[in-house]
Amino acid sequence: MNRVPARRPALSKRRRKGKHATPPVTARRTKAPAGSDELKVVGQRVPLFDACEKVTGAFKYASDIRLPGMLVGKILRSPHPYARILAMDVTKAQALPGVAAVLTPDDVPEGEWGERSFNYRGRVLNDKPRFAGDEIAAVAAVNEHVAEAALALIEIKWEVLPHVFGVMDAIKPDAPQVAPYGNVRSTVVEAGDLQKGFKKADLVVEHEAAMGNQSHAPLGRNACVVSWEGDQMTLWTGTQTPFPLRDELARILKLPQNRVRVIGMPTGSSNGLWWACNFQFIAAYLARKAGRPVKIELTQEEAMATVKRRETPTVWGKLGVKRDGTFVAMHVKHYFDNGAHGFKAYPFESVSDLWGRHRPAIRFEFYGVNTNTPNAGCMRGVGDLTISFCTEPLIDKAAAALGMDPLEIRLKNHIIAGDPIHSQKNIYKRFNVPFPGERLTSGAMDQCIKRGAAAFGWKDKWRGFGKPTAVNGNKVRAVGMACACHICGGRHLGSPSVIVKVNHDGSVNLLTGVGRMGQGVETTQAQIAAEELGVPLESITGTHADSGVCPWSPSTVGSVNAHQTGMVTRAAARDAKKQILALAGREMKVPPRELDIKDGWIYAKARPKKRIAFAEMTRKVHPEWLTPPYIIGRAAGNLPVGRIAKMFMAHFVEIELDVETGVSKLLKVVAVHDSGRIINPAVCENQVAGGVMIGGGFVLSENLVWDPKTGRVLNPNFADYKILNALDAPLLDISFAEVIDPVGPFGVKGIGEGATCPTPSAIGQAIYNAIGVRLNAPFTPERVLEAIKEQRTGGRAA
Amino acid sequence: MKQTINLSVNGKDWPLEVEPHMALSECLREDLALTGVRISCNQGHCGACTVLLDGEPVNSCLTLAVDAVGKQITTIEGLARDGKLDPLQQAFIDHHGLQCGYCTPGMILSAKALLEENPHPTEPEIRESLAGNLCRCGSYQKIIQSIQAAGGETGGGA
Amino acid sequence: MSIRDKFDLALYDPQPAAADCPQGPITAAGGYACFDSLPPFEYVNAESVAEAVTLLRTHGAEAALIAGGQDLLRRLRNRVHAASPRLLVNIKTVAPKLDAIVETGDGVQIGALATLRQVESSSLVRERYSLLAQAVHAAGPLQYRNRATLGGDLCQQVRCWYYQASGNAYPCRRKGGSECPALEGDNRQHAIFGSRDCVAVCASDTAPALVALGASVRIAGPGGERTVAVEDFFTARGNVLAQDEMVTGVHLPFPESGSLGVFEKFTQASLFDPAVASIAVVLRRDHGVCGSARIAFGAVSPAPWRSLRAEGKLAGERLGAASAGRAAEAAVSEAWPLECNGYKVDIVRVLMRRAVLALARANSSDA
Repeated sequence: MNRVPARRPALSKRRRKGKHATPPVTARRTKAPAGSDELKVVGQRVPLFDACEKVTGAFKYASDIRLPGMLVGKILRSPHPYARILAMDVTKAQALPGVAAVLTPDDVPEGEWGERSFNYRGRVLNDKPRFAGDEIAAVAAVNEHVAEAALALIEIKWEVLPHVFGVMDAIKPDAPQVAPYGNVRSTVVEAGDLQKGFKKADLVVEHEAAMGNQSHAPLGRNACVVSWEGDQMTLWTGTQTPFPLRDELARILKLPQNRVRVIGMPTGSSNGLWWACNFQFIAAYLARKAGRPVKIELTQEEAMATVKRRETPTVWGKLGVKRDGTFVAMHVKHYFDNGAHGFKAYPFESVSDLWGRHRPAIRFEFYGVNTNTPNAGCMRGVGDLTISFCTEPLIDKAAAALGMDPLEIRLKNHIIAGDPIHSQKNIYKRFNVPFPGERLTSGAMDQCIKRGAAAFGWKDKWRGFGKPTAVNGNKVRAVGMACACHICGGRHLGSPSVIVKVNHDGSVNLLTGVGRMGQGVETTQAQIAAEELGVPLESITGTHADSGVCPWSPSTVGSVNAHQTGMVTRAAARDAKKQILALAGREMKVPPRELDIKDGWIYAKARPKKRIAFAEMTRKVHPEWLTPPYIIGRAAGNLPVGRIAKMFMAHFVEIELDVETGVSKLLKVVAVHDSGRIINPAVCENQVAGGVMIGGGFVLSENLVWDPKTGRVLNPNFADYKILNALDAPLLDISFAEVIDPVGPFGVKGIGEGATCPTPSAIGQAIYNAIGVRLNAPFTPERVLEAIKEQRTGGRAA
Repeated sequence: MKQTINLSVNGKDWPLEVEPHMALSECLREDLALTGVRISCNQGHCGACTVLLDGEPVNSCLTLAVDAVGKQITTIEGLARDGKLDPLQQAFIDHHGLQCGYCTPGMILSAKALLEENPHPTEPEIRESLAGNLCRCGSYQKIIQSIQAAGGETGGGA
Repeated sequence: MSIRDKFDLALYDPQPAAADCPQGPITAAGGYACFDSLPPFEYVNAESVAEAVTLLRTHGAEAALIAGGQDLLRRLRNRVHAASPRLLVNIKTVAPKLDAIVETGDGVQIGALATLRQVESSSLVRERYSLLAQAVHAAGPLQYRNRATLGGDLCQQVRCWYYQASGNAYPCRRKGGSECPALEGDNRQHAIFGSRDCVAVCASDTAPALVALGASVRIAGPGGERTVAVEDFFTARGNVLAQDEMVTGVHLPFPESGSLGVFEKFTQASLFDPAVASIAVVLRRDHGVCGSARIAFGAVSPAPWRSLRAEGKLAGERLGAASAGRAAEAAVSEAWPLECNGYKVDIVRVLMRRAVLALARANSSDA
């Protein structure tokens, strides 16, 4: 059973009666995109389903779970960046009163487990730990104090191994090998003949960019609680990927999938952190050995220094352009640090297709590299954020050389609906499936750029590349803009499945396997179901992420849900509707195909007054079954072959830079997004706002630092790892292009991931415009000031 | 050694036996099941565990339970009265001043203290009063709008 | 068959196993773990200063004082030290309460237990010592200022991510060890002035303001009270407090007539972030000319750093761009940046120059 309290009736009652309550959903319609039929629920700013629980504190996260007899699990970590355990003596720890179990590498399989999107590959406990912080043993005890004493009693004889920290060091042939399968994994996305492409070019520009180490820096703890009953396991944890976690637990524990029940709890801000994580596997083995329920709750330090961080990129690019600004060739090499346990060759790169309007030859090479540093993998905007941090300045360099405006050159080259998409080729290749060819479903980058420019007042503020908008003493104002795109799920993630249960009283349970991390999926999926089924939104509640109850779903990653899961939710609602209309047709003596449902009424399309209330119909005793009918709508399916949706976005930023101190303040951001039809504008605005803060924070202040000798993270806390707070938040102007995607449910695409992608590049351009130097991120005051000084002494660079 | 203390939480007195090293945050969560007191950093940096002591926001992770004796403690669970949400809570719902919800109780309590002292705060005043409450979802704009709306409402009604 | 079913790590571009690593040094040690619950301790409410001092004397290093607890409890949670105190002596219960802010014959006395919120709200402080009010306000967000006391803010431990690392990961010199990991490590947040014995930095924003104001600390011990100037309170690895002493208050002398003050905290982004550097200046003006000046910087050395060179350069000078530049150069002339913190030198220079210019403006508009 899902432990999240379902308190929808209370909320809806307040919403109807409260003085300041939100008016009925139909009363506050925002302007629907052109071409909209009469949508009742999709497109509305309805409050989050769980908003009431969140503002009253009743909402439950994994850290709130407590079971009778539950033990505290704590993890022992390697103090060395790379070492081998020669001997581990746990007898003293085991003998300590209050210790129920000590888990060592001998207690877990020799084989590695693997995260489905290659964010992790390793043993559950490592006898050859690969980074300072790697997990080597664990203890289950009656309380944290006993656990602490027990871990201190574990004696280890180490053989310390030579380590490697930097990506460019780790790719050298004689570098220490972090994993038994080598340090480097690579793939290529290509189309056309690169050499010929560059030969056609009138101008070739190059750019190399690097960024810092971004931590997900979650606000909110995660825990994993495991309880075994015989050979059946129940596991509560905050996760975006309940089913892939379940599947991998079952595989490595050698249990049938139906005997592993993962109850995916909501996470705090996750941004890609809480997927299938190693501590969940440790908890499973630890609880089995202890014979009692175990809870492992990670501290902020553990969450920031040991679980995962964004892959640190170094990107080189070369662009060939015709005199009129047409792109003819683009070559990019994207190196990224996988850390100790990341196993990725390809960050699911979407931007490689973005500038393909005139079919340039492209070659995008990706190199995932293991180092003895904290695990690295996906973080919100994965790949597209880091690669556009090179391709955007590359385009700017070309535009500057050609005397073009940054908008003009982008408007000339971005892809539009129907253009070919190459970036998925790799995925097919990896799974040995012939690539069917793919084309873009919809795209309105032009609207994003033009509307953003208008809302921002770009014409008035743009002074040219390398030129500030205004200078007032030591304060320089400058503007910048950038574009990006991202996937909206993908067929390779798997086929979502959804169940819509219609109860006798007409209320509806929506069951999906999606992960909940505050993105509003409970609300937006219900909006889709309510729209399709024709019932009021208030009549729907959701149960999600419980693998014992809900149908399978892909990982909630890559902005999969609105577009891909939503399509299946709509199909399941349609299935339920079909069944109800069949019953209603018999009752009303009207052929079912002549009936429809709207606002909770089943009515004859030709004679709307001939109608029956939805809830009356579901209550009626079925003449043969002698009970009311029980209706279950269901669907499983995937995106159509040969077509793929992408979200597009353009961000415009204004900064104020102090040339004496190097501090840049982000003043204003205008963001225009093409995410197809907007299911819930308020939810989407929050998603974009969050993306801007994550992307902006990454380049302005965030940087995870490890000690150059020990490799241990030095700033796993919010005092030394600075995320943007209420005083730092810029003014935001967020709007949406009017696009209805032909594939997505009601025309919906995705939004969450892409929102982070263009902000760093836009700020980068603004910094360039302010000081005349293109910098690597993060744009710390120190680095900016250094650049200003160098420029003053060394003269202006070309 | 356990001490017998009496804590006044959300207008009600609770006799409790606590170890002196129990933080107020843990006492409220574990002994009184007030899990709306969220713990994230546990170091006084994030503000998720904010509660009001005699109306003033403090980080309950860096406050001992025994030090809260004799003070009026307000947690998020104490804001709604007789089943009616506080105007701030309603405003956060209506204006979408939240995403994952983890920072929300602390945000609302900091805002509550602000509005008690300053019913019509300016935007800079709101921002400063929230500086000790981090939101990694980055919902600040709608959080600020929610507080402005609640400020307007409580002020207008008074 | 769907793609999902074909998921298998072996399919994913496997590469030949690399040669195993060469043998390295062999060490014996456990691992580390992250704990952040408060370790057990006993708790005693002291009813008088004398009782608190006696408890400290009796229990020695096993006892510690607790007032607001904002620095202590965080360090206890993080296991910053090898051992944690077994007894906490609560001094919030001392009678009479040590939180009064009162005018005395020669200045203003602030009790050590006055919270930062009390200090910044005090009309006495705001009217006579506005730079202290600013410094106290900048010390942290409201949650901090509501609990942290002035005495605690002064006595708080330094900023250094090696010293403060959880689990006592680096038993450095300040902890009695022989090494300073920051000297060879990542020292971007570290000191640029003073001895290189320990390069942690003073984390208190109020300390430089108190130094500039010429404040002194009242210290109670077994032998009674003594008074120490705030600038003499700090030592290279801590402060002058003996194991059985406690701070009972801070005394601020009345400002000389015609004196002006300025405080500025420079951070990476916004006000409540840890200071990269801060500055507090108090000077006496006389027809646009600087009489005597007291200048102190925060976050640039283990103690607040008083810049006698900058003070000397300003004395007798007309306040303006020229003297500001000279004072700035004098201020940084003693700096010896480490590998990663040269930036702090630039910031000290800017802070000094801006402070003098601000005081010059205040001067002329007053005239």
